[in-house]
Amino acid sequence: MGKPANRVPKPWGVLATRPPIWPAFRGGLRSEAVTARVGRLLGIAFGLCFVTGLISHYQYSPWSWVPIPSAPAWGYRLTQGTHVVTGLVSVPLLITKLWSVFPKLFQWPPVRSVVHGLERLSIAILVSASIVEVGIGLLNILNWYPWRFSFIDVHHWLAWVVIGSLLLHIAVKLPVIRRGLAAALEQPPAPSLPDDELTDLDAPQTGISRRGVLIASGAGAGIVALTTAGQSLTPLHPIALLGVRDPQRAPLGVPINRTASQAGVRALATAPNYRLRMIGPKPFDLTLAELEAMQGVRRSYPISCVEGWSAGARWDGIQLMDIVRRMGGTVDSRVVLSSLEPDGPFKRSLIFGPELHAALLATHLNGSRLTIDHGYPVRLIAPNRAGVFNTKWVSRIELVG
Amino acid sequence: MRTARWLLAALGIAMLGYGIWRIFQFSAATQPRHLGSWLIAALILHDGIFSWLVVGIGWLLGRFVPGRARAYLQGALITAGLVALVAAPMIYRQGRSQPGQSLLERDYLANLAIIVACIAVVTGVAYLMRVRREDRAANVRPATDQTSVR
Repeated sequence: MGKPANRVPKPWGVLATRPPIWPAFRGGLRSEAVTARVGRLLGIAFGLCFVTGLISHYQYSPWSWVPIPSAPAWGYRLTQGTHVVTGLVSVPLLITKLWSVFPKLFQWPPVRSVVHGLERLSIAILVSASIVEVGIGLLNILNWYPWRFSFIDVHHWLAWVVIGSLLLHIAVKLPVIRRGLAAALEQPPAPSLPDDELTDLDAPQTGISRRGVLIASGAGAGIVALTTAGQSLTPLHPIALLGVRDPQRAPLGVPINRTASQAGVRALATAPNYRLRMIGPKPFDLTLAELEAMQGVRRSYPISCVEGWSAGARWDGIQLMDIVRRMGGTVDSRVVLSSLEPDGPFKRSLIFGPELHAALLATHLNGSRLTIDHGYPVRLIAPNRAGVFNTKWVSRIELVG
Repeated sequence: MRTARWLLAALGIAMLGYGIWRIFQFSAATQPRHLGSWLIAALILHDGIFSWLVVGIGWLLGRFVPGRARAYLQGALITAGLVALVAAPMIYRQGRSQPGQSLLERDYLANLAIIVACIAVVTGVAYLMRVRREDRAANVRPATDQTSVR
């Protein structure tokens, strides 16, 4: 964008001379060829993260005329597992990419024209938004929130900022990217700059090669992928050294994100006067004994968390549609389930369409009675549905339309 | 080509603008000022501190580690450093989850040590193989002066 300014225009005259002490990098390890290759991988990772992230966000606010499909049951397991692994892999890729262009931060003059200034501003936005986006994503899967903003909102809207400024960056740099990808990785060392008084901050050429940097950084990204993916990809479980969740160690083989104590339902869920309350054209109540006496079914639905872990599981329970029909609802009903939880963003969840047809009010998980942390006495489970919306400790089922 | 670049740029600017607009629209949830301080802190942390640490380590390696070994040490440090960056918050947060919560149940410091040890073994073996190959080539070639060596 813009022509390289041969002569610095008047208003920028003061910037024509570089300060006497100014960083210079002559290592030759950084090059367009390295940047373009790492950048291509990072671009693919960010693209995958964005698309899978939007799919996940759709779980939070689906349009009534485009219900979430219930098949394949492992759909969300795949997309959200991919989201978290590619997000983790983009940490090493992002660091390598930024390393490869670090000297450009010190280009002189800092700003050549208004257009150049705007381009640098867009890069500043891209860099800082990328670091924050990937960083808060990593902290979120650790349930660590050292900030005051809402993670879900910021992670969603900042993704638009990242991808928007990334597309702008690709548009601006396209000729450079094509040149970099076409260039051979190893080239004879460039002739060193004539100005010898510059401080040489990079190591001399005899160390690692450009190919070596790509291999080392790719190995870092690969190790991160292989040692974290085991929290959803069962064959990789034995080497999940950096897995945040461990399904095989969890009670009944399914990790617990939010315990009954955290939700404040420990006493309510075990109270003898527990009733499941149905609110609709034909309201009724069920005691736990009545609920357990109903005709049950068994389904195998994986449970997949927004934080990337997932586990295959076998559920026994009653079909939610049986209850909805008894309440006077139909397959087209919109149903809201409420938890015993006194308060909280995931106290209630809406279910409709194919997910409703396939949904279960589960009483058993992998052959055992639900534990209190798994949602005793009864929890919702539906295929291809984000974990947080599979409401635990269900106390109320309501037809809303 | 030119048209495609302009379209891509326009789409990028539109998405960027949409994101910024939404951040300010939902300011109760996004806390734009607080978020802004995180964004600026990210730049300062990366460009002002982290990158210079990397430059400094590179300079020290160039100064004190001899040529052939340096390439392998650099490679191992890059790989291990990148993995350590992901593992660091896990190590810091380990043991802080609520009782009953299936979260961070592994020993991440020990696991990182295992990964670093594997990286060290692989690069160490690669280095020794190169040393042997080069030493043999250096010893064999002048002594025998035959074409059948390779």
